[in-house]
Amino acid sequence: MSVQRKAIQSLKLDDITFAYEGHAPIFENISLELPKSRAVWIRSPGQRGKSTLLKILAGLLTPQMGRYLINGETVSEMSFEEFLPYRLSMGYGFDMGGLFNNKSMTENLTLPLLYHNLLSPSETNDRVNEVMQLFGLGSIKEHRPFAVSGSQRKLFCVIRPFIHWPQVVFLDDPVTGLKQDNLNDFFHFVDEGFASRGLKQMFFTGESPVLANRFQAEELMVSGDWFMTRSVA
Amino acid sequence: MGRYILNPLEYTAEVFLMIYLSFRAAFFDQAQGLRTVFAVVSQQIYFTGFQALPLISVLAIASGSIVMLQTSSNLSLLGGNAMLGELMVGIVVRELAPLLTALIVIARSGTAVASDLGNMRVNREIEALEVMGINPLSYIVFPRLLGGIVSVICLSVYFVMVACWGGFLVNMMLRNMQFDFFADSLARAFTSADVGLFFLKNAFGGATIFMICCYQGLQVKQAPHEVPQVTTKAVVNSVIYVTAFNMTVTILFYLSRLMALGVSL
Repeated sequence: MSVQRKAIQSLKLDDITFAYEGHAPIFENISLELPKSRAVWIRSPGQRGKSTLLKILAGLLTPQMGRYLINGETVSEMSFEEFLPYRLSMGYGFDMGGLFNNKSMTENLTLPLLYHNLLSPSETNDRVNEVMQLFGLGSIKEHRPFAVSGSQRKLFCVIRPFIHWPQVVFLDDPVTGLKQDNLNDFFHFVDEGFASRGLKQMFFTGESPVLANRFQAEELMVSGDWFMTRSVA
Repeated sequence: MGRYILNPLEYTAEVFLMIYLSFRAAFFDQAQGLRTVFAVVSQQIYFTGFQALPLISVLAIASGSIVMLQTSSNLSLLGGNAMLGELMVGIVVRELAPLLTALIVIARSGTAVASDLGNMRVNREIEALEVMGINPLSYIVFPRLLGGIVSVICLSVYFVMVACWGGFLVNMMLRNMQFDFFADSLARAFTSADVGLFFLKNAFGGATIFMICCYQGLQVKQAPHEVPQVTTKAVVNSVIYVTAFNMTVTILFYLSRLMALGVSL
């Protein structure tokens, strides 16, 4: 039995405070409604809090105070199962790591599709083969993460969140470490997602403006207790 | 003083809560892919149960033959050879098999599970599961727990069989023991209480070992140097919990037997 995904209408932080254990708060009493542009570039003047904000938005971290709301529902009050329909509408890409070392690269991509019965095994194979071909990864499909190059691992970190074609994708520093060829393929891949695969929004961090320029992103500058938004010129 | 009592109690409560939550996540969450979970269970049984067979065989043959040689040679001096079966059941089935199997499983698989989960935490694989909507309790913890319980019970049954056969063969060669005599003595000694005690010790041992090792592995925050620390802690705590439980159950068992015989305590 597969879980019905829930469409994400709005993401909102309501007076949140977040600190890692034993450290000073990264966010203090910050409230903001996340922009609805299709691409949002999250930045921070102090180089602090970008990945943390992405993790809060993906439901991986829970603020100590305040509420994170999806469609007006408080995420911290939902059980793992209640949050699942929203999770399946999201994708999250780590800057590094997050690939399963005891699984092949193919299995790393098929796991969420098969686990949640989102596609049949043959449809899953077709989709993964299609993605592998697009990025020219056919030769390493049975390799494990430790047996491939750093740039190939990075590429998998970036494309895996899209494999179930979610509505919203969060990418932590997706550009650093990607080869130029892969970057071009990635642009086409995301274009296709926006055009015909149901992708609505992409939030990303990173210093390079290349992704922001390509997708005409809105910039969200966040720091401590303030934020501002502006268009990327 | 309170700290020395409260901390272990809190730890025990957290470990048992994790057992409950992992079963709940695996069975009551309709969304989880049980087929994928049971593939992990069978892998765990293969690593913990099947791959430990050679080591368990060596240990079982050694303990079975030592116990039988010692008891039969001493019993024959006292004219009590008929009690050989009872001593084998009392020592091997009730005590040695559950304890030695548990210690082997802690050394082989407990350490592997704790360090594997610790490394998964460092490599952000646990977070990756969460963002994919895969509950680590049902995908990571539950299969190890279930596979661990099944493996420990099977290994312990295997231990008893090999120990009895090994013990008999050594006695047959050295002391010319007859199989009919041995089998008859053993069959008369077995009671349903022994079977219950045997399964209770092994099921609890398996559950405790794997839950403590999973719990410790998941305690890693983010640094690789934490992995050997949690692994050591997992081994120490598993040994303490398993031996303490086995000792408590044995004491209660013998006290209940004495009371059944009418001995006032």
